[in-house]
Amino acid sequence: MSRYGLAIDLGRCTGCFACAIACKSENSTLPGTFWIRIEEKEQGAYPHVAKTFTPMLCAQCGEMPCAEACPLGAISIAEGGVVLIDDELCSCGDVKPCVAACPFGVLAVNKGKDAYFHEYLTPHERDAYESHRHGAVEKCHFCHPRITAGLQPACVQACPSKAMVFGDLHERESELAQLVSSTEAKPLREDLKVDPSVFYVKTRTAA
Amino acid sequence: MNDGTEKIFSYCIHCAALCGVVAHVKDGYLVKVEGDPEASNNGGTLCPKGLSAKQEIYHPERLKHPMRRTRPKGNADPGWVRISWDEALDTIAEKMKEIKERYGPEAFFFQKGSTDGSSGAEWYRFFNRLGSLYGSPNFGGTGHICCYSRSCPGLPLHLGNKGLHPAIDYEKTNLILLVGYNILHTKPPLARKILDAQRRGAKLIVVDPLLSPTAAKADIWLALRPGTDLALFLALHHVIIQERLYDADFLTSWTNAPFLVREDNGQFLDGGGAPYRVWDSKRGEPYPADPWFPSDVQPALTGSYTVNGIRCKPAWQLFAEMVEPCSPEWAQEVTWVAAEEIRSVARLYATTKPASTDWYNGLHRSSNGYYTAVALTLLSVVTGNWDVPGGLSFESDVSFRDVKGSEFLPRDWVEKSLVTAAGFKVRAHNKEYVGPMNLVADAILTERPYPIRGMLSLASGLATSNPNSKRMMEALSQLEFLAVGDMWEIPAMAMADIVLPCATAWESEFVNFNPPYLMYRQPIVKPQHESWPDLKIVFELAKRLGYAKQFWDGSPQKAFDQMLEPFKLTVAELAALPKGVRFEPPQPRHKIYAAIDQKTGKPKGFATPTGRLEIYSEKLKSLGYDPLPYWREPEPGPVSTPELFREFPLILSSGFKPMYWLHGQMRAVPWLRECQEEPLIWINRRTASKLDIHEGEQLLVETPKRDGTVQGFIRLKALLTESVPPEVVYIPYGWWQSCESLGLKGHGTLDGSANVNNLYDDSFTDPLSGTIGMASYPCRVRKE
Ligand code: SF4
Ligand code: SF4
Ligand code: SF4
Repeated sequence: MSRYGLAIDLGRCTGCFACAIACKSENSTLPGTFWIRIEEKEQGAYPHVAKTFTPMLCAQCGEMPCAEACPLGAISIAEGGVVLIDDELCSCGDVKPCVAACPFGVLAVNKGKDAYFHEYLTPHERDAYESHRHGAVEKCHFCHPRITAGLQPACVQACPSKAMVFGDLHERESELAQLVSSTEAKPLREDLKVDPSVFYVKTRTAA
Repeated sequence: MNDGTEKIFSYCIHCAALCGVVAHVKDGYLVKVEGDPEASNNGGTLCPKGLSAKQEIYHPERLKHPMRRTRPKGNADPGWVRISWDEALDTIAEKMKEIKERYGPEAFFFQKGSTDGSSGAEWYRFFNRLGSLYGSPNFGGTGHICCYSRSCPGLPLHLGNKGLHPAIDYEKTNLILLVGYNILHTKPPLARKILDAQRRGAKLIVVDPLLSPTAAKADIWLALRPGTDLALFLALHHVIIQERLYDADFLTSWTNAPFLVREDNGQFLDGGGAPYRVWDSKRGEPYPADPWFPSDVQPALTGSYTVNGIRCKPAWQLFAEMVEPCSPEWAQEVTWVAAEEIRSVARLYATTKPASTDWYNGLHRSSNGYYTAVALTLLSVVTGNWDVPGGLSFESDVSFRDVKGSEFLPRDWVEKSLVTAAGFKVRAHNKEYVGPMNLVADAILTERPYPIRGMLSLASGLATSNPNSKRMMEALSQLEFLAVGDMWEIPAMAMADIVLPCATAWESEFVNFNPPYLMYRQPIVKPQHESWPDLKIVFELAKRLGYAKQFWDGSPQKAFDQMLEPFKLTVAELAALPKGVRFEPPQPRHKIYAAIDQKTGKPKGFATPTGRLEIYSEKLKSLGYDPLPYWREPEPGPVSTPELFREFPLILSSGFKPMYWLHGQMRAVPWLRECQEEPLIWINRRTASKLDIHEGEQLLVETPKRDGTVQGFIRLKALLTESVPPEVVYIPYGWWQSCESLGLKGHGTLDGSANVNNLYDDSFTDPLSGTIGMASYPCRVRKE
């Protein structure tokens, strides 16, 4: 059985947002909803200062703290280890226990407008935006329809820095598995032991 | 896919990178664009701007039809009424004819902004042609605020590289020196190549006062005082000469370093039937150079000699004397970079082969930009990194047939140009961008050297993208006739008589390289509303002005065929294939200069005045400038204009751009605007705490004019950071537009706006090229 995973090389991420826009374009998420976001961190004092960019997205945890918190059983693991939220079952009121339970803060609640432009929607946009219900909890699913069709997630393909490597963690020869085993690849918050599929690598430290 | 989605291969021309894309189109609507994995340039990747095509095309706030003003200028509401394209173009053509008749062709200005704008820089050559046929030398461009001495036209007097862009082989280079160039964001397809080079062990050295995303990835970040790059490079030269790290063979064989320069007049010593002479140390006498000399001559690079009673020195000796006082310790005082760091970078740079360098806006927007570029590129020359694979090399000039139509211009067009009148002699000599917007504004307002009465502007921000926005707006308001085309209602349209809705690049056609293909780029969807591609506007206008014959009977397709002649291909042949015809632009060929010219039997050399790379420029000397890149402070600046810094103590730098913006464009696109919703002023934490400024507080930023009175003020929210020095604030430029979709209002252009260009007096210029001094501008900041 395969387990999809992602390694992000923080030495290569330049904080350019191409991944975030590729995600929007592919998944037609609503205004204000981001399945991937960039965290920027500055350390030190000028001129001895370093800056890092960390793309944050659902880590597809094997232990799924979010699912454990969900009273309605709306979150489950699908083939390939991808964590999916069932839109029909997800129907909590204003309080969303999963959102608070996720240690990475990557669950997004649709709470803004229901489309970017109103009177100017193309037929595709109309359909796509309608599939995102107001109030629903959403998150990255590694572009599930794409990966099951054999494509890379949209963010991985778009990234101008080639900072992301996607693949099957169980396929030992894959670039991903090599990267994850051979270097300093670590999931965020390793201490939590939630068995994430997203790893962060730092191949090169900025001066 | 079998759901009726069609894949159209195309390329993005939002920036000069030209990324290959696949557009997914269903029922005539664009569903999405992705990077084309087969495109060798971007290899399937795509930047935020390209990815957002859909939101640009279907944006509800685009201009939808041509309009005419019904109320007098100055009225808050121009009273726009919808008109037909026929009426719009007939009016423009009529006004153009009238102005030409009454004041001469030079009284009409053809303005065009940066790459992209609406449908990219591709069609600009035809706009140029229109201007040439009309007879006006005054067409715009962005050389004065962008990249004059890099590629527009570059440094032909020193390097002979006219109009060519540096093209670095990142697979071969072992050191990358970048100056004022946030390359990882502004040339997205190069990001992965540079990061790969670094992974391979190549060193990345970034010169930038600000911790840009590119500087954040550097192995060595040289954080210097804005505008002092020249001092840094002179100090690098100092160390390289002192420690004898230069390539004496290369200097002797291929540069004018050994040419004897007369002490009395600074000209090269001629004689012996040749225009130049060197001092042959073997024979102990001068030897003629034409500019070549036999290999048994051993020319001296240093020393002082007397020939026929004339005292002279080799050019290299003069160069060495110039950098002699520029020690790393001296440079530390000037640049704030530690002397030891300068020394070690000089050694690293000079001993790592091959070492490349590239530079951009950050270097040019300064009153000392021209000499800064000279000193930087000479680093490549003196260390033997010039034109070697992985060193500093330039793109090959194999290209489309030129259709700019310069042959139609009156003979005296350069003499009649505004740069000649303004005394920017190098620019006049190079015949590039001779009618920049800032000089046009002067001519409109002062009627000197002659009045400019009319203007057609396409794809230009005009007042928001040019420094001294107030003066730009005032000048526009004085025009007898102004027509402006764009995708959006830009602030300058407040002064327009006619407004034209332009199509996006995605809705227009052209031919171009999209390696590994030469492609006919068809519109991926039809132009929305009544918008027209700029290309069509130019062609239709040409017909109305009586230039149909010179405009291929109004057929862009026939024009493309002519452009394609060097490839022996027609547009029909390209259009017949989904990606066009396979064509790899030739790899840069190295050392063409060393090839023997069949006609003369001598090396081809360089397209410079002497035929060699020029360490010492006699041409500059004869134009009245320093022949060598002596240190000069940026103007304005804390050292050159201390009186302005007394009341405006901070240094304003407008600095780098992130990947999701291109100049002043795209703030209306909501996907992109969500990356950064509002403009911010970056201020150092220590400075902020002294001024009692907190994160997110609204600040008022004011700057002076040359005479110390207030030039203008703008308002922005504070971002506290350590990415800028305590003495410097960074304000990104290009902010004016609203984004209704996200409920974000427009910012305006002038006082009280967020437009940093409102803060500059544009009279501080580089005396050679006319680029405008903005790198180190005085400002003061306070809470409101
Ligand atoms: S696209 Fe790549 S480089 Fe850009 S922010 Fe995302 S991960 Fe980082
Ligand atoms: S990252 Fe958060 S949302 Fe994703 S599986 Fe883990 S806990 Fe759930
Ligand atoms: S880098 Fe971005 S804007 Fe430039 S051509 Fe590529 S996709 Fe377009």
